Amino acid sequence: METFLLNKEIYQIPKNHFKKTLDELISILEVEDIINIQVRKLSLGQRMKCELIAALLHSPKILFLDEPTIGLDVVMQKKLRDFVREYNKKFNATVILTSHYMEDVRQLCDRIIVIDHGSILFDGKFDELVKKHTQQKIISVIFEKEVLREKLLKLGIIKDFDLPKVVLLVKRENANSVAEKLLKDFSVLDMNIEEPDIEDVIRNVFSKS
Amino acid sequence: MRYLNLFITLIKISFSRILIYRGNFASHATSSVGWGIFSVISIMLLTSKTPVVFGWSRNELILLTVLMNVIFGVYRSFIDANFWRFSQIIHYGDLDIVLLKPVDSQFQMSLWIFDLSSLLRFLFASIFAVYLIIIFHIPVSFVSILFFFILSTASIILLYSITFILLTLTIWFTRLSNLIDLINTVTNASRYPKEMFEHLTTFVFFILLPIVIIISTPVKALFQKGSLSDSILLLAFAFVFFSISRVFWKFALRFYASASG
Amino acid sequence: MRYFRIFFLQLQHAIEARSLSVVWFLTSLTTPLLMLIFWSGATAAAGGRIFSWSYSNFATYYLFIALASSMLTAHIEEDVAFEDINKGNLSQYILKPFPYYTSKFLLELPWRLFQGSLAISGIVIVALFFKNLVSVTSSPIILLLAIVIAILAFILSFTFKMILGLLAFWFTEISGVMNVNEIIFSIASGTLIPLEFFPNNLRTLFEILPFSYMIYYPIIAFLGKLNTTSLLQVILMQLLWIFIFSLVYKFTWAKGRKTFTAVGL
Repeated sequence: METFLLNKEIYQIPKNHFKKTLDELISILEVEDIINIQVRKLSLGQRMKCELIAALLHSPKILFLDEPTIGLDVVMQKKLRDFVREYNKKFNATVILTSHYMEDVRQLCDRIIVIDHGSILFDGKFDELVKKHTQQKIISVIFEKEVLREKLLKLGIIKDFDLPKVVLLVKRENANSVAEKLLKDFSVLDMNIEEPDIEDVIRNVFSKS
Repeated sequence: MRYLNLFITLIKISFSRILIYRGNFASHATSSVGWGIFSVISIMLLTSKTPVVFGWSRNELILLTVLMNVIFGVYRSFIDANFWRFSQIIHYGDLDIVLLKPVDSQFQMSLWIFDLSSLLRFLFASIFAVYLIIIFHIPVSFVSILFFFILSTASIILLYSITFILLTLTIWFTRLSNLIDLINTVTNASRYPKEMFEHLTTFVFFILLPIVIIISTPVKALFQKGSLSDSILLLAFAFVFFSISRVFWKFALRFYASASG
Repeated sequence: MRYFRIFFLQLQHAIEARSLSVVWFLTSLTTPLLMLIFWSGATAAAGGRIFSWSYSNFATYYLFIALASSMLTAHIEEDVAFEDINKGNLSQYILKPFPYYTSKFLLELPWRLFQGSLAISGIVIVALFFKNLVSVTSSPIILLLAIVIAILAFILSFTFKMILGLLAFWFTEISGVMNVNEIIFSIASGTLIPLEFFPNNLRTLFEILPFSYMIYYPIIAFLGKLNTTSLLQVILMQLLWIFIFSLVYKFTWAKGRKTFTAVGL
């Protein structure tokens, strides 16, 4: 709590505004119980939450988050992402996020900028990034009966061949026709058509540069 | 004023830290009082065979040491702890965080944390000083006490400024994290009377002058043996060095480069 | 043979951090210098001599104090207490195939040699300009014994400081203990004032305590103020204290290790 009060003085936050913002942040992050406990007794996740509150007390309009989910467990990662989303909506703040976890990017970001050695490789929406930098889609199939590898080679590149599951990389335009063919010619238990993994997309972006 | 509020909040935080880190506080308080006692014992040992040295009587020298503890007690409480933090901040490249805050950076580097354990030293030294003044029959007056306070304040500002200027050099020489120890040891020279340094070569004396007048001048004023020229010199130095510290700090910040991790 | 290589590595580190060493050296030089300035005025006020010491006697003494502080006093206790025990770096030492004592010894030695060489060069320069100030004994036997005393003094100081550092196993606030030690040390080792100046009962106390054998006796041995018999007595006392401290160290280390827990990050 003392750090919060200190930040109030540092950023000259008026008293009622301070109280309002503090209460909101505390309730969003669910830390009512711990704000008066000494920092050294808090866990890493609790500390992060309190640090966030301290940083946001003066309701900054622009938020720079540098690798915010690094070192956190899956539960905390989700909580943090939810928080960022909510803060963005509630306080109308612009959030600039850097991350190596593509999940953060996929779930939170409207606009993506990919930078490599100081030059911008891509700037646009998430879907555009995927479409532009992958010519392929992923078709995952679970076959009912055994299938010969050679028969699948005509349809696309085999990424994974581990019967009964096979993963194919197929050209974007052909995705639908390949899917049709699979269903027609083979006995399929389950099939999934997906965009490629965001990690692969990014790798692709970087390797093209 | 805004900085006053900030300062008060910081003091409050320091106080509550005492309650949390009680063992730490007790240990530091004991050390600082211990050093105070040691400084008095050592001056007594040093002067055991010479009743008058450098124009100061033995009693006066003992009182000089005690009053040194009074002044240094305040200095160590409010300012000194910040210098250790200063070295750490520069060494670990954390100056960015300081510069990003909407608070004057020199203020942040100088008056941010406090080690109130030294206040005990200040307290005991003050009581002991009063006691000695009475039993040694040192002639003090209300005016001389007032001058003592004014000049001590100037001394603290001067001591602060000198140390701050020297520490600013670590922006260029980041490896010198132990510089503050050297500075503190050298400025300890101020606990000896200024006259002791007078027969060094003029050049050396001139360099040491800002340091050696720090304690001697207010104490001499208290004893009503004050020299007007010294007092004016002290006030002038305090003002000049403080201004230099400000200008030099702003200048150094331009050179500061860090790699954010 | 590997100890030699490790020592060499540590020496490289010490040389890389030479600016730190220079600052430490200057720090250990300051107090003796201040004392010198004080004594020059005091001896003048007392008519040239105090306790039969002339100003040049004082000068020689304090020059050697500066040397002894740089070269013979180990400063390992802060490293042991703060870095190894408090911060948990001790784990990496426990994993090594040789004793903790040895690792720290090889770590400390280069710093002492580096700062000691700075001090020695300083003394040589002073000796060139002020020949009368630096009067070291010329008798080879006494010189040899003095060197032995100096080496033993370092081992004594090092072992003592290791024990001091290990106290951090039990005291979370170790800095208070270290401060008290510094105060006692500066008085009892002759760093502040030559031990001759103390009244007799205190002198006897200091002769029993180990501190005088870390600084005072090596210095006056080199100054040639003791005869061979006395020198051998000094060596005997040093060996006795080293023996005592070794036992205390072993005990402290064994007990302390059991209480040590380190938390990985």
